[in-house]
Amino acid sequence: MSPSPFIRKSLALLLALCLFPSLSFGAEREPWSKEIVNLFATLPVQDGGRVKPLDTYAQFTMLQINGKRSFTTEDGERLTPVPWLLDALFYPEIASTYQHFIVDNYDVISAMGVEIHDKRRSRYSYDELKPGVDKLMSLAREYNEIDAKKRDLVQQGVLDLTNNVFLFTQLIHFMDFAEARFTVDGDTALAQAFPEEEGLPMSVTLERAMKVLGTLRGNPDNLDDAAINAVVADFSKLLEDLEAPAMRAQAIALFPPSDPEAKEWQTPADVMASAIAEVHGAPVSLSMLGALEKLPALVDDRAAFTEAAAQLENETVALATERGEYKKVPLEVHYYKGKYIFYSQWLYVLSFLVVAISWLIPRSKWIHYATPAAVMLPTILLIIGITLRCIIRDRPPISTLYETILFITATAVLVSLFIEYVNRQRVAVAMASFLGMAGMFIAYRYEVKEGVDTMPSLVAVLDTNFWLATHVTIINIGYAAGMLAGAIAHVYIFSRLLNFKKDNKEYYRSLNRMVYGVLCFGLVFSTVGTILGGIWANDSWGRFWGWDPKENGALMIVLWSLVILHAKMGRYIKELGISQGSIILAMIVAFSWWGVNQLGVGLHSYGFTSGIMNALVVYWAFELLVVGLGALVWLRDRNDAVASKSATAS
Amino acid sequence: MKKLFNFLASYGFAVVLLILLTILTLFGTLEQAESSLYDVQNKYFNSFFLTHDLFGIPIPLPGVYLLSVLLFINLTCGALIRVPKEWKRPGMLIAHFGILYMLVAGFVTYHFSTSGQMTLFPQERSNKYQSYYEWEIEIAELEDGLYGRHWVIPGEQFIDMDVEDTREFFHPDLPFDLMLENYVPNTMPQPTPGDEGVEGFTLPAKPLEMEAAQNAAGAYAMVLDKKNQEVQSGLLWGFSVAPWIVTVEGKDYAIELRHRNWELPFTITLDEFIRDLHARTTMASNFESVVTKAEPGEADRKINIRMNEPLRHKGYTLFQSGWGPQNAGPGDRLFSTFSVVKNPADQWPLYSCIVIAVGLLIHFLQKLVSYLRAENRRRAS
Repeated sequence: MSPSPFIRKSLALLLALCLFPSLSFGAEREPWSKEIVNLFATLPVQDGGRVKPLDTYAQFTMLQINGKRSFTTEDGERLTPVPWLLDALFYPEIASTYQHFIVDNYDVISAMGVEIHDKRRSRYSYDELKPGVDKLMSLAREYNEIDAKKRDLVQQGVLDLTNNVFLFTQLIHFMDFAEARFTVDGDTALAQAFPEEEGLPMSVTLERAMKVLGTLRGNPDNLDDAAINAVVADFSKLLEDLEAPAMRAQAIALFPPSDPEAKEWQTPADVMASAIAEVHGAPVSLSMLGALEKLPALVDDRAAFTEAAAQLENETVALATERGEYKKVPLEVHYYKGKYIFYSQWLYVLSFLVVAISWLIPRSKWIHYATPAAVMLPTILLIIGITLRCIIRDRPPISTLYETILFITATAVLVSLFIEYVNRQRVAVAMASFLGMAGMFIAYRYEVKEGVDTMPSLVAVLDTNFWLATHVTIINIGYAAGMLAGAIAHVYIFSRLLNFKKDNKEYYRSLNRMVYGVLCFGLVFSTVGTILGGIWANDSWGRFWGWDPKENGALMIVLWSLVILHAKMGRYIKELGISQGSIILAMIVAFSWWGVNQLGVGLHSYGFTSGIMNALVVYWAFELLVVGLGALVWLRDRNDAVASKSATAS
Repeated sequence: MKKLFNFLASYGFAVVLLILLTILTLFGTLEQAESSLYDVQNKYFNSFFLTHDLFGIPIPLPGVYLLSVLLFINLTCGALIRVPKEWKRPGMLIAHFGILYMLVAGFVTYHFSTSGQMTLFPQERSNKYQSYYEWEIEIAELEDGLYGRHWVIPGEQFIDMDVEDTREFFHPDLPFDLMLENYVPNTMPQPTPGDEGVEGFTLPAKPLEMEAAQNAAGAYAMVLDKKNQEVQSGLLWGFSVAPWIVTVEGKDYAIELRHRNWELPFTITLDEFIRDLHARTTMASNFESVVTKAEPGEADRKINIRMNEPLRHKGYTLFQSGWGPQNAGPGDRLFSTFSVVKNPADQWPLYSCIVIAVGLLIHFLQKLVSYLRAENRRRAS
């Protein structure tokens, strides 16, 4: 990966932002009312190429900086993302004291010459970090030149922290423009438009200046060159005055353009630029800028603040609706408010407890019904969550790595529940519960680790609902089956190892049938999915098969499934071998699903992620251990067989 | 003979082949972190035999090409010839037939397809596409500055040369012989003050690039006049902007080392290249080329080629594969690059996929039914 030019640009802007003291709109604040929070949560903004609620923007910004979606102030107030963002925008001085910058390694902090906290992983406030920002930037410049794959943890930590400091600095200076006042002195036509003694806010200034310029266009008053030059000089001076505060307001694009053809929403900085030069698309109505501008002054009068926020919301929503960009925004707010994935995760944990109780009181009738119900409930929530995401995005269930986790978990759980329905051994339902819990935990960790919107815009090659619905969905069902077969195989091997139900051959046969059945199920989907992937590649890149790492991962799943099935048919392996083979299959699925992304090569670059190699190595080591334990069982069986043979002979 | 057939048709043979294929796929995948995909393909996937370096220990292995041939034999003997007696499992027969069909598709693609690229700026036209990796030397007669008759030395006649080797090429219609020496698969000409090299330049060997298409081959060339044995020395380099011009017996000849060229039976003109970005990002949402296809006897046709929507015509397929220059600023003129593929087996994988899917579905539905019955029986008992 080459050094990021974005970081270079960001550093320049960060330096500029840090030179400005953050303005104080209010030194103390009362908590934000529910009404204000709701108004801002549903405010549409454009970010990452799509229109989304400010709530989503706030959540992922907070997640990126803070490492979680809530923050407790020193006064004990628990801030969720929108109130946290409102504090950053309207109480920058207070927000600067929040210890919310998550730093995994205190060496990053000592590298920037700032006093470290006791713990290696700790959270710092902007005020604590500020003395070291210059040093941080110079380190970031240096480390940005190092290939991403070759950076050590501290170097990467410095770059991550720089990004976060940059992001936060942009937020606390976002409303600076609202405090600035402008005027034009002298007696030119432009100056005459500003008769007030006091300066005017940016929206009014722009409106008047544009009006004067519009009138002067074509020179109806036959001004001489000197007069024109004087107007131009005044205008240039005004532009200079406007530029500094406007340029600090670039973090959030919250004004939809009035031109239906224009795609890009505008920040206050863009509004100023487009109003003057019309270079950034058609100018938006300045009234939205005016509505935003009023807010800081009203921050201590919450009734007036609410009214002004509602005006901003109404105008923005009306225009976004007219442009057809608002329809999904309330649904997305509902999706995150509903916390379907969060509740699903904890209900799976609860369901596992119910499963454990069912082992303790196996004859209880109520637990017999309660167990599958306990697993069904989080599964329904998970399915609702996945469905809502599909509706919000107008996409099939999977188009990002995060969504593969949700989908694979749901599929594995549903297949397990189907198996439970058929054989009622309470093994598959336990698997369903365990896999649900594990899957949701991984989804949570991944989301926190990445800290970016999990419903991003897609790169051009992925912009095809047909292939996302066919190849991607099918191959992930294959992944789910591979993981499930491996999971059930653990039950087989540990049962054998611990001599659980030693004399109940039917128990083992049934387990083996489950593993084998899921393997066959997986093979159908893996094979068809892999070939469909080739056909898609043939339409996108001009070749059916290119030995790309992701393609190879899928092929290995198919090949290894075939190895197990053919070895079984040739009687080279029996129940134990099938279980061991299935665990190896699960390792291969993990390689294909996550491992190949660590290689950092290939055409499937949209799936790259970093920093999960340690978790993978631990997983593979554990699985190899289980396969080894299986070998121990095999040796024990063989010894027992030899012993019983010799006993019979003697 | 029967023993041999039994071995070739056996599950054991199938298992060994499948395990080896899995291992080679794994090795070939991991190797890509260190070597170019092209080199990895040639070493692991297009080969008969190879030596894999496992933590410093060389391990000889059969290549995927050889394994595929053996798998084809195993499938034919085991799944088609021997198994049909068991008509209870029609799904397996169908699925194995589908896999055989796909292996054939792979074989045809490997041996009979050509693939390369065509790069056009707006309003430019072309009926040629160039290989990404293969080299050739073209010798063309120049008449009034225009190309006349031409002769081509295919890459396979010189790419095996070592840097110390010298090789001579001749043709009865040419008044000279061409001699190559110091052939290097990747080089960048370096100016030299001494007598070393040719025309003040040497061609030092560079390590192969991670992207094989970025390798630039080069060689010293000598033209020997057949009549007077006069020698002219020059330098051939794959990425040079102009050919080497020699004059022999009063005639000019252009000699060029270049990526292999193929001709299309139609001409493509790039009318417009469109690159859309997601709003307020640098991420592309769409690449699209508006082209005009022209060919003798047919009306010109305007076609849009975009990601996932190639142009298929007369056995050739043109894909939107790239654009540039990468450092272009707003308003700069952009070129569009198409991947061009001629593959007689283009759609065979699709057909085989359908066959395999049908076969597997039939088979595993049968299995599912028998599983459900077995579980019912178990629960009933």
